Amino acid sequence: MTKDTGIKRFVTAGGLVVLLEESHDLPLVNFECVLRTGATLDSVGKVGLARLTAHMVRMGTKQLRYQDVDEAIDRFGAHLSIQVAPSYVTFQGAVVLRNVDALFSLLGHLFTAPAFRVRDLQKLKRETVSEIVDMRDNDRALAFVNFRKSLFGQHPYGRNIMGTRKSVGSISQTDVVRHHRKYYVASNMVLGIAGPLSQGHVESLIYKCFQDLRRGSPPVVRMPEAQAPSGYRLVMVDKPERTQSQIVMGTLGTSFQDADHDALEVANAAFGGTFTARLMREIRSKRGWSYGASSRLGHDRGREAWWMWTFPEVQNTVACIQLKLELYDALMKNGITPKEFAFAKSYLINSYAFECDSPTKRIDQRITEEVMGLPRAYYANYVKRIRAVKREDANAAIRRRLARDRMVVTVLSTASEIDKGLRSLRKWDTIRKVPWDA
Amino acid sequence: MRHVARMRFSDVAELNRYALGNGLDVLLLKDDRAPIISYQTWFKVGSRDERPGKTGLAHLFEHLMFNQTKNLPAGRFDRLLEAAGGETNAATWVDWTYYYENLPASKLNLVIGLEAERMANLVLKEPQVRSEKEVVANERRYRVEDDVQGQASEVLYATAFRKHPYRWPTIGWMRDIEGFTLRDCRDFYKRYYAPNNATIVLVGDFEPDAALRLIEGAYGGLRSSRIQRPKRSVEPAQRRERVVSLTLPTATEKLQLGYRGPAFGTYDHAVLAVADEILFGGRSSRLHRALISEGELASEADSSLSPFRDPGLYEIWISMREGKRAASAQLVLDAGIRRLQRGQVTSSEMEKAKNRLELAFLQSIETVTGKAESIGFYTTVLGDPRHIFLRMEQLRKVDRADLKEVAARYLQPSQRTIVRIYPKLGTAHD
Repeated sequence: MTKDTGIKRFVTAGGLVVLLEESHDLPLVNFECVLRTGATLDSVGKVGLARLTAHMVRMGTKQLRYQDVDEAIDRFGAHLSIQVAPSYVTFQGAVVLRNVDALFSLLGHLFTAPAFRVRDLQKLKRETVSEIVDMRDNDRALAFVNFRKSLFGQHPYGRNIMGTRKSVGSISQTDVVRHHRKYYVASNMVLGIAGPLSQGHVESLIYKCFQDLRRGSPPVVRMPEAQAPSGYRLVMVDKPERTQSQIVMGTLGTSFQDADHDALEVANAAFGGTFTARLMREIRSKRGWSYGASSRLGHDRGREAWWMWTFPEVQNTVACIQLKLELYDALMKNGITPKEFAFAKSYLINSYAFECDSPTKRIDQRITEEVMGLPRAYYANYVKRIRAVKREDANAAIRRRLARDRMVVTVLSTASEIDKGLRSLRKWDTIRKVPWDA
Repeated sequence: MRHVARMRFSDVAELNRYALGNGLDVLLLKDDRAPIISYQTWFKVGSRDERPGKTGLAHLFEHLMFNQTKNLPAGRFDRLLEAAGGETNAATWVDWTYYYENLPASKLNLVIGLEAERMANLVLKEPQVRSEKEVVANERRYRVEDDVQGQASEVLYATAFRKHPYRWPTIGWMRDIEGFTLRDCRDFYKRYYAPNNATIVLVGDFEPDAALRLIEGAYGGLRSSRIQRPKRSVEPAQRRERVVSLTLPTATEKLQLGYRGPAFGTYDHAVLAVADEILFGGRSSRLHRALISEGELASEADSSLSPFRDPGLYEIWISMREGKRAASAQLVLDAGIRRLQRGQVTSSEMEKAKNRLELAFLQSIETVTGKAESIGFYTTVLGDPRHIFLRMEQLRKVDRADLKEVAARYLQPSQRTIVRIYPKLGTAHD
């Protein structure tokens, strides 16, 4: 076991990486188990498989029904949630200290001997379909799903992680068993723990509970390079009776691995990454058009999206999009100013303290390094790297990464209210109208 | 600065309370596990202090307070804090408004100066008020007009309360937001933004003596205010079920219910919190099983018990699955409640509820910000931060007889309001 910035790391005989930060503040244990799998690995007709498999894991073993699992988690004073991202799956939770052994014993059984009953799968599929239907009530989520679909097209990043009614319907028990066999192996998992537990206690817990994890090598996954569609594309998600429009517009950004990722991060902080950045100032502070106005750079193994998000009143929609296009053009042409650059760096360097101010956050950073294949101390060196970014680097990253002629504009609104204005705003290469409940 | 009280917060930390001569309440908790601080200013003013026609004024201040002050041009407040790596925001509810900054520990001096400045020297002018009214109107569209649950919640409170200020939404009615005048804002600021109406909470890595000196230096010269609050309205007892129906562009039926509940801080409130865990807490709870995992009637079933100084609501939200009727969920809900009223609670249900509440309590004080929020909230609503721990003691004490009695007293159909939401015909594609 090696010690590194307070976090202890060890690897089991099967290849499971375990990270521990001992913290004695409260009788509470936080944990996170992350697998290198995710929605991008689902095959074309089976989108939603990674998510369904993860949820099937908590549906019980041969000895335990899902009701027993739910009962035990609640009785332990624990919480267990599952998040599925494009490139990884996370089982995250917390438990009161006195029940940590019992909870880990349960987790061990779930990971190593899931029952994968057909009737449970059918139940989960029905639950998933109802969640897909529920998403129609969430205007913001609908706008983002349609934005990603339009930007990434057939690339796996363009998928809705939950899948579709059709793709979920086509997933069989055999698919789930195969997915589990392929990816739920010890060497494909990283387990992080933060709490008042000694190294010896954790080692014995892991040995006792996770020694039966399957061994072997997970398949090597090669992510295809994403390509943004050419031209300016408008997608209108038509929903009745909207008083405001959800606008998500953007293009491709960078991947974690790109040399200019940090430089683009600085540029983004200056443009729309903070409350006082250019985008917020122009849209909210000066004009009061939208409660929020921000831009973000996605982070993943492959090249992710860069996007701007605002939600103005319907009558300001066209003007707001026009302004954002102008701001984007100005950014591409002139980059960020020396003053903006200095501010963005100062913000990123000083606020880094909040990225690692708790054992749970520090563990999370280390897990990301492991799962994303980042260099060790990627986060420990973050401030040093940001300090090294020059304004020329930030502006070069803008020009190199953010395409001037590849922009997707997604607007969720009542289409009849904005259709004419949007069509006459500029020459669009494509215009697509999507019903909100498609 | 007068030392008022000392209390044990954890095995290693103690909370100290001080008072300035002008009435400013100060609470300090040292936690040096990370080089950061959370600095919070809690004002005893919320939407309950408004009057009809001027609803949303307390919330508008949550926006106006980030504007110009006598010594800082507009935008400077945020810019200084962000350049320092800080995060700042605010929240308003019925009983309080609070402002927070999370900052690197070395920036304590900066935040104390900025907060004292805006407590005393906010500049209110027509352009700022006009612009922030527009932003708030957009916030309202986002949270209420275009949000099914936001609309339902607003209708629920407006129907359940007829006299008490809890009947209007904290964000305010749209027509009121549009109608605020500069004078409204100036009067409100003068009345409520004063040291004798505020509690400063500082948690994190700082030297207490130095922090006290800085606070005294920055706030010591501020004048207290004569705070005259609107006359309190007492909500009459509800004797009949109230039902409202809405049709909205949504794919499935929904149900929002509110039972008239007890005030926060009372023992009844703690008992109802345990009852709520038995009904809705976790995937093994009665109603999660009956409505979602086993019954497959609903896709979502949430509940919450309002943490208000005066009696509020026990709220329940159920989103049905496609083709399932909200009326069937109501039957299931009623059956679950009836079992509570008959005293049918198993030891396992009791153990689960209490363990889950303990987990939630520990999680609420896990971070520096969480600790500061708990201290500020309990001090502002109940007058004493000790209630953080008294609440946990109350929850541990609850037994079956308490549950039976409280469920029978509060969870009666005659004391509830129901909002039924139906999909608008022709808006959803089959």
